[in-house]
Amino acid sequence: MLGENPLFLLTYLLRLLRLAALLAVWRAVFAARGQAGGLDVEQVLTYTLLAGILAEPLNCRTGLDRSLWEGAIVTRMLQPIGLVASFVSEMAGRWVVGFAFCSLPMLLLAPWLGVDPWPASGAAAAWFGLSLALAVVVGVALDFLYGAAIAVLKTDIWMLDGMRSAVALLLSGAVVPLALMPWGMGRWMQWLPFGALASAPLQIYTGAGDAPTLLALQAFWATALCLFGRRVWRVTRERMVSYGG
Amino acid sequence: MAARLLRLWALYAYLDGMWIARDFRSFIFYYLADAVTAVASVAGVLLLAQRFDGIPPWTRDQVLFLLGFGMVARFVPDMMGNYNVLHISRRIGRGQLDHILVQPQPVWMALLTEGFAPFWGLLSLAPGVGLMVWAGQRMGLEATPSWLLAFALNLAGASAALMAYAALWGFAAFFQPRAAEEISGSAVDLLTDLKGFPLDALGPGLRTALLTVIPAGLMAWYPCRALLGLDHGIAALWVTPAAAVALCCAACLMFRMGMRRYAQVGSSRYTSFGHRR
Repeated sequence: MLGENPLFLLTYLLRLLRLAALLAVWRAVFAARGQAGGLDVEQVLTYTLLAGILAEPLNCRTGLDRSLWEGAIVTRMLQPIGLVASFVSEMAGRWVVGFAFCSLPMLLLAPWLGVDPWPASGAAAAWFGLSLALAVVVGVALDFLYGAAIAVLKTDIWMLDGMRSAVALLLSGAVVPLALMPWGMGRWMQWLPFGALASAPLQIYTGAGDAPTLLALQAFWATALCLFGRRVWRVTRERMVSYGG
Repeated sequence: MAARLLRLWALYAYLDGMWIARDFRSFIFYYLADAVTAVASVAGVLLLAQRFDGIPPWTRDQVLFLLGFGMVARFVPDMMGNYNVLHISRRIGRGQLDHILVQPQPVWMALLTEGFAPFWGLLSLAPGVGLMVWAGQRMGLEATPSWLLAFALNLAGASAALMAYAALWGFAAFFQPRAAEEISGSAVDLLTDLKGFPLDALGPGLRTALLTVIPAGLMAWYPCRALLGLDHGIAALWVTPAAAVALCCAACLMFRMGMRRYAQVGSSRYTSFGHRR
């Protein structure tokens, strides 16, 4: 990974700067009010910090799209390992690097940033682990559905990727907690599969949501999207065209 | 020379128009994707401003103006820098500078015209302009000739700062073609990802860094502070254009150094040990 992208430290610097900017915005917003949407400033800061630390697992990217674009998918299909397992194991490897070079420093910087990184309670921490695992399952399923869409649309993946990233970040609650969306939008957005990606685990960690309800919703989306994704992928893989980079 | 520039821009605009309109499906898809991406990328701050009636010390309408300004400032480099002109490190790193050097025209003219794609991304411009006009009307902003001049200067300065910063880093590919091939993209991301944030609440050290080392504050925050009167004093209006000029000079200097090096070593792309072989 490092050989492919020697500038990875710049990407991590950007993540750190974005986190600092977001924390500053939240402090400014909450300076004049105690609570908003049932959240206090400490919860929102912890929520934002954790969203920054877990940016990669909360927005799963297996690299399937790039593999389709470059044509590397062909060699993957010849390997004696399932396609999902192949992509997921590689993705997990990338997370280790991200965790070591970015997430861990962010966590260590938390006191300096004035944020309490600890979960709301021991139970919240335990539920959070399960919720994060479900979020990854939903994320991988969505990524394969996205891959299927690329195979069907046969279009420029960069444009599609930009749109997907921006929309998913917004709808998942990774930037703005859904409870703080205006016009009660968050109430509706939490039922979407994107809400299972970031909002659910972060709410559980900060004690801002009802863990059993959120986990049930995540389990539903994980099951439904895995079944649907498997079916869609099986049909569309026959229509794949690799572009060759 | 000016006539040739205009002819080339017209030619590339025609090619861009033909490419976008080559079929109805692509036309709809590109414009839709572009508009959705542009709006979604600033929607977080926009929704926050709506929910909390602004982000202190910015009112809601001032935040909307800032977001619109940032979108428009981002559009100009996109319009001028297609086909990896903005991401110049890719061209240099991949040995594609040779394609320009063999043309019967100056390098600067090729770089100024080749990436011109006015139709591409046009729909990302509309929401930005719309936000600024709407917010300006709600604030009762008086668009006097002097204010419009300051606005144009700051907008041009913000766009030029982004292009110069991307180029400044991108020319590092002259020295490290493999390692720095994607560096322009990282530089662009550094500046544009933070363009929608009011940076007032950041500490003074970080704020200074975001106006100098990583001048993301010049993309929208600082010029809008000056234009909307949050920063009193006429000098504030000149900071962004002056910084853009300084960045352009630094980029030109770096380009000359890079070209000197390129004249000595050339590109290893097509050699038997080239990294892209």
